[in-house]
Amino acid sequence: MSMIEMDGVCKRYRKEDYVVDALDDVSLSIDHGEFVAIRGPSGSGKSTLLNVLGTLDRPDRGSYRLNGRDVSTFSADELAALRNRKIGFVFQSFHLLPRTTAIENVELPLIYSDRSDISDLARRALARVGLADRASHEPGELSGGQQQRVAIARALVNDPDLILADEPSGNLDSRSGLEILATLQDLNVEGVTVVLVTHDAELARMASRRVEIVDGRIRSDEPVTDRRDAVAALAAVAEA
Amino acid sequence: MKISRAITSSLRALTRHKLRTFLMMLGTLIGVTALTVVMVLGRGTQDAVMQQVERMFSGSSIILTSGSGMRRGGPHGSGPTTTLLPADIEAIEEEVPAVLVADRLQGLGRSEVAFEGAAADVRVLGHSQASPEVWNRGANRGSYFSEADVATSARVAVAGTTVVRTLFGDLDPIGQQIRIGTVPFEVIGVLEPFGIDPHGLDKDNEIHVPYTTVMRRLRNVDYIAASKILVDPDADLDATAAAIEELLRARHGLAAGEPNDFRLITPTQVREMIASSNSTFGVFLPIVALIAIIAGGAVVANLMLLSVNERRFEIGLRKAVGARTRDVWWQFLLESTAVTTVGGLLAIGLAILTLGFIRIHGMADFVFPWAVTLVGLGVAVLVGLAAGVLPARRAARTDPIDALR
Repeated sequence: MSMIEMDGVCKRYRKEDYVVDALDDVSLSIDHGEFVAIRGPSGSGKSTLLNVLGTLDRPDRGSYRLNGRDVSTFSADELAALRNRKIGFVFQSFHLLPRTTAIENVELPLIYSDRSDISDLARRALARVGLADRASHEPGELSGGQQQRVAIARALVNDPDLILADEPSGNLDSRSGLEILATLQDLNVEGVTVVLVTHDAELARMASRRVEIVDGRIRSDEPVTDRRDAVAALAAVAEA
Repeated sequence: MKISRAITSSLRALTRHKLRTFLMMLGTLIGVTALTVVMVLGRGTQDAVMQQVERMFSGSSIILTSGSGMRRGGPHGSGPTTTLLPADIEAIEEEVPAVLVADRLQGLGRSEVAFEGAAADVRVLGHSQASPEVWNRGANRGSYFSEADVATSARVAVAGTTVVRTLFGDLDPIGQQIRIGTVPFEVIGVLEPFGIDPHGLDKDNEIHVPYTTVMRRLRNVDYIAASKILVDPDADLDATAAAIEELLRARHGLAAGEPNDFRLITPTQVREMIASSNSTFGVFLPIVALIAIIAGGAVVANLMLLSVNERRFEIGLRKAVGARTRDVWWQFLLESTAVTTVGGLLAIGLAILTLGFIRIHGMADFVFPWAVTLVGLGVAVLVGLAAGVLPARRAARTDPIDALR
């Protein structure tokens, strides 16, 4: 059984005078431990796909099973609990709370859980992204790459099955971007399933599987044969 | 989400925007301070007045005054009523069984009282020898005048402590000769101190003399102004008042339908009168303060709405990472309530300081009723909850996809 099973998912947006088929009969299954890149030009529907995967959005038609359970029947509160335990989000613009320390940002998902050891867990998550010594820094005192790693720690802190990263390096210089990709690759090696949305073909090569989406339809879905290692790419940048 | 976490989370959100939090707090702070001060002063004044009334009516008693109590306009009837006579009071004492004893009052009003070179402006009151028993206020030095003094219209005086201080300074007043107007009196006692009465009169700036002396030697009249009648505490006051009324109407020869030429006041009437006359402090000022608090609540609601708009991404993020609708509701309700509650607590502190200042400067005296502070705090909490409803609803309805785009 795959972790994610999407079958015939459609999502349509009505604008004022026209209709956009953001997702048109999308079927996709993702197994535990995969690193999937969803690539496509802007407006192709890849963000909608990510929102549906993350249960922030519901499909108009089709089914979505997560760990074998059909989440389209879940209530809003059940979905919130599901996101809290199973899914971590990483956004392009980090979305860290301003004037709030790194550790408090990482603790955010935990305050909606019934975990009691929240600062220990948050500290461990920060350590996993290499920022143990920045726990009491506020976002304004961190570099963009560090901020995004705090955001990844936040996504990790509840030990989710799935991390959804939407253009995580989009707001970063290439070096910091590669560091973020290296972090995601590390986590994937540790067993975390990662879905990465990007428009960048080079970044898509960091994943183990590449899904191309155009106009709301999946155009291709194949393993990455010429996979790049982010750490190696970083080393190459450093030499140059 | 655990409630303690929700509260810390809300408090943290507030400390992130200190100026806005302070502005939100201001209305509640001022309103609750005003409410508390006004309510304490109102209660304090009422308590003080009630205490004086209890003292005036100590035990069980009725006040009898001459005149109908209504001032009539026109050339007739504007002078003093001259029909209440000492004999009426004797008759009341003898013929109404529940009556224990009665004082007789006739005054001279404010008069110049002189001792050697010194002079003072003093209220001169005529009482009977029953006064200490009836008013529960006698002489604490020397003695009050006796029945014989009253019978002989003796020129003896019992002076209040203010008078003693003004006229005699450190001198022992007992046995000294003073003059009231031109009539010489001997000071035979000093009145127990009383303080300021509800009308702001210094009750220690008085001189008591026998009422007969006022009638014969100072004013040359044959009537008295009033009487305080002590009634057996086990007897029914209203029935006793009715018996007195019947007796006096008969003695004054009033035909049926003719109005009384005297007035009987029972403690119940006075208490009702005081309770209703205190509506300024008791009702109007608290309402004004409440309006201020509600206006403050509107400010809180507005600034919270602004804050919700500003923090859309935060709300979207919280929802994305697992906040349920009710968690978002609670967060914003708790934020607005925390603001007004802290405002209310500070307001109580401020009110205590203000009231302390008022008390130190002797502008008013009162006991601090802690229940009043709870009222202020309760109002603050309620206003905070109410002010949080709209912002919390808007926050809870935020679509995380829009908010995070």
